[in-house]
This record gives sequence, C-alpha cells and structure tokens, in this order.
Amino acid sequence: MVGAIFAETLRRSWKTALYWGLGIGFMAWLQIIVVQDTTLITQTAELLESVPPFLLQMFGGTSDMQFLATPDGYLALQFFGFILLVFAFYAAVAGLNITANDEDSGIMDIFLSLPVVRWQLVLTRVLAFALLSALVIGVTLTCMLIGFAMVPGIFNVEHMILATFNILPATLVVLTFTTMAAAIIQRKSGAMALTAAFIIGSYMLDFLAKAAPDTILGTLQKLSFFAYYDSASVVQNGLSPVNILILLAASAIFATVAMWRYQHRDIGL
Amino acid sequence: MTAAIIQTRGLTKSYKGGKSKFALQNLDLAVEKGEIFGYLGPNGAGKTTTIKLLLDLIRPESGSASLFGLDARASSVEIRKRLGYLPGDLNLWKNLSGQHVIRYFSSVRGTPIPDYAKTLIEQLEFDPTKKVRSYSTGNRRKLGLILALMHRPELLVLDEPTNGLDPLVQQIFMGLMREAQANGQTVFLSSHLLNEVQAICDRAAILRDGRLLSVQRIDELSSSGFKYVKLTLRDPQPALILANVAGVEDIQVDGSQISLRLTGDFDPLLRALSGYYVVNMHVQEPTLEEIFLTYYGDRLANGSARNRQPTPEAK
Repeated sequence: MVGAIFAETLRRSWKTALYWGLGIGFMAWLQIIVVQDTTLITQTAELLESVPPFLLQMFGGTSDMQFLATPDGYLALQFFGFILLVFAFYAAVAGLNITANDEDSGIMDIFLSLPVVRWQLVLTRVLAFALLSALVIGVTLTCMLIGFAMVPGIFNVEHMILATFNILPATLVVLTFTTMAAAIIQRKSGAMALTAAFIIGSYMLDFLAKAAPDTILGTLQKLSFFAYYDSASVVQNGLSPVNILILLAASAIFATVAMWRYQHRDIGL
Repeated sequence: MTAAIIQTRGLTKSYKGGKSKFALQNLDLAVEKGEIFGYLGPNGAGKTTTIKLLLDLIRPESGSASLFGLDARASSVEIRKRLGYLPGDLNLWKNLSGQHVIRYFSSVRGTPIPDYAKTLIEQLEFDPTKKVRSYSTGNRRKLGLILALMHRPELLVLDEPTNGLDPLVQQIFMGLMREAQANGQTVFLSSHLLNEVQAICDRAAILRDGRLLSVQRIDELSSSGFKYVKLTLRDPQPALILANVAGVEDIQVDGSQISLRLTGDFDPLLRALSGYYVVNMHVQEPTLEEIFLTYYGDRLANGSARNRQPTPEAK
C-alpha cells in the first residue's frame, strides 16, 4: 500500500522535478559558460573591491576578495549564494503536496477512507519528495557538469559537485517544515504563510547576522538554516559534516512532528 | 437479534470547541448487518459529521463508535479495509483519468482492479478513459460509486449518493444497493431525498441539529403518527366543531368538504361525526416527506417529536 503511494507520488511529480532541474541547471550552465570571459571576472573583481566588506559577507558569505575574484568565487557568489532560495521555493511547493493540497481540495476525505495509516502517508510522501528534490539537484548538477566540460580546467569541479549536493539537506529542511506547518495549521493558506515566514525570516536573519556578527543577531543566526548551508565555505573547503547533520536532524524533527500531528488531528474541517 | 455493524454510544462532536457549536450530540445508533440504513436530515444536521467520525477522519469529544465490533479509532485501518465510502462532495485529482484513479485506489488496497469494477463501469455506462476534470457532476458521482463498490466491501457508507445522478442512473443505483444487500453487505446511506430512502432503506434515522430524533423501520415510519382525512358531508355544517376533538389538527373547511390531519385513533373523530351524514371519507397515509417535515416543524420539535425515542433495535 505504501509502495503504491510512493510510486504514484513519483509518477505524478517527476516531470515537474525534471523541469525545475533543467531550469536551475540552465541558470548554472550560463554562469559557468560566462566565466570563460576573463574580462567579466576582472571587472567583477574590480567592482567587488568597491563594495564594503560587510556587504560582500552578506551576499557572498565571505569577504575574501581573492576567492571571490576567482571563477569558483564567481560561481559561489552568482549561483550558490542565492540558489537555495530557489530550491526553498521548490521545497515549499513540494511540501504542500504532502497533505495540504489534497486536504484543501477535499481529496483527503475519500483517500483516507482507504486503509492508509496517516503517519505512513506523510512519511511516504516526504521520502518521495526528498527523492524528487535529489532529482532536481541531480539534473542541475548534470547541466553544470556539461558546462564544466565545455570550459575545462577553470573550476574546482570536485568542490562544485559537493556544493551542489550541499543544497539537498537545506532543501529537506524546507520540505519537512512545510509538511509540519500543513499538519499543524490545517489550512493550506496558513501553512504557506508560515513557510514563507520561515524561509524569509531565516534568510534575513542569516543575511543581517553576517553583517553584524558581534550583535545578538550573531547568536540568533544559529536558528537560520541558511547559516548551515554556508555555500561559500563549501565551495572553498568542501562539505561540513556537522552542518549537514544539523540540517538532517532538523528535517527529521520537523517530519516527526508532522507525522505525529497528522496522525492525531481532524481531517478536512 | 443480528450483530450491529455500526454502533455508536454517546458520540459527541463540536466544532470550534464551544458547547453551543455541537455538530453531533450524544448519538446512540445501531446499524445491523445486512440492512440498508437511511440517515436523514437537512444540511447541517450532522450526517456528514457522523460519517467522518465513523471513518476516523475526525475525532469525537466524547462517546465512542465501533464498526464490525472494532473501535473506530483504535482499529481504523482494519475497518477501512472492509468498507467503501462515497463522500457527499467528491473530489479527486483532476488531471488523472477515471481508470487511473480506479487502479490507484485498488493498488492502495493492495489488490488488482477487481472484476466487479468492470461490471460497474458497464452498468453505470461510465467512460473511465477521460480525465476527472472533464467529468460532469453525474459522471464524477458514478466514479465515486465505482470506487466505493468495486471491492464489494462488507459495509458501504454513502453520503448523499444520488446527488447529481439522473433518474435513470438513480434506478441503477437502487438496483446496486439491493444487489449489495442480497450479497450480505450493509449500507449506511445519508440522504435528504426521502423518496430514495423510502424506496430502498429498511430503517431510517432522522437527525436534527446534531441530535437523533428517531430511528424506525421505513414502513413503521410511514404508518406511524398521523393520517390525512378528507370528509365529504351531505351538506355544509357550520355548526360542526372538530377543533376540540382529540388528535385532530389542521382543519380546512370548503363547503361540505372537510380536510384534517388526524393523529392517533379514529374513534374520537367518528364519535364527533355521529350526528352528521358522511357521504365519503378518504384516508391518506402521509408521504415520508410529510413525516420528515413534521419532525422538523418547530411545533413538533417541542411536541410529538419528543415522544419518539430512538429505537435502534426496532428491526
């Protein structure tokens, strides 16, 4: 039964995931191809010299000018720096597909008359959408690898692959948070609003904390999932297992709360 | 007495948590194996709330429900393996075909598409190749019926099943219900269409404002209570006063013709007429709809309806 739900979820959403992957991958591919133009890198480096360090920190995750003036730094700033917001949007949309959309449209009434355990339904769909998120990242990576092959020797490809994989744990956080919000709030509009607040709030907190790390924001930054994404650091130094574990643990907690709540609350009121 | 397939005891549900917002209050109900049970009431009476409680879609504030002798909450998955459900407001994935939905529901139940699904598709003249979004209301109801019936469940829970079906398909539906009953299946059918209930149900419960007013056999419900009496006297009789006669209500006089509603025995009326020449007396049983309206009339809410206690073992 659970297998049927898993398969159906994949069957119904894989095309969407593919299009998302192709769209994001195309953006990444363009950024990779454009790096061939050394003038662009030089001009970008000159431009960055005039930017205050705190602004570089906010947008690029680092104020290391030497790094930001390299092709890797360029991609960290121009792609990995903001792409998590795009993936967060995908994850929020996917998260609404776990229960909120079916419940909001009244489908859950008849679907839950089948012998389905509610928490298993949530878990199965979360796992299916986690796999679909991985598909989006996989397609994105494929597009990037094509780009790297077209401009060989410019990028540290290994770090770029790791930086791409690094998107997945943070995407899972948003996916499971949206699922939890829908399980708690029940209304789709409420879940959407809470998820939007979570994403924007986390982004702003991380953004401002980078500019003012010595204030209370520096402490509160730990509450933002963007802080554990830290793409610039991954592009420079590789993955941080601690950050990944924290993000996966947060995802597991959100998913558990979602399953528990959905198992125990009224459906479709 | 046969075993109860559905049994509720003191089932209570309120929305928004306030006591004044009871959707269902102290429902005691028993539906027996093999019967077609009608659950009557207007919108907002609590019919759908009852069904959602039975299916464990919502949880009661107090009381309990059991199906097949199993607790509706603790054994909900086991119960749902054995029932088929048609919601009053059927919604399905619009971009899937009817065939796809049928296959998906079967696979979630862990079975291939039952042969009976094909029989139902033929009987209902349903085209399963179209997308759900292109189905008319009637066709969507047909798909819902197929989904509910195809695995021949022991219990069918149908919420307003003939809503949107044309009269011909309604007849087919009634035939399917009789077939299900002959097959030993139990049907719990909510409706506000009294002719539908009258035509196929063995017993019916009447619900109002979340409270159960009555549970009776359909024939008892039709014959109980009151009758319409039309008298034709030889001459107009202005002096004839029937208003004080026991059981007589709603008197209308048109010359020598008198129409009235009589509750209880004929004897007091016949005694009152003893001094007059009665040319004709026509007695008509009320329709179930008229009985139904009686239950919902404000006057009877404080009067005779109070005397009708639920009789779940009336069969």
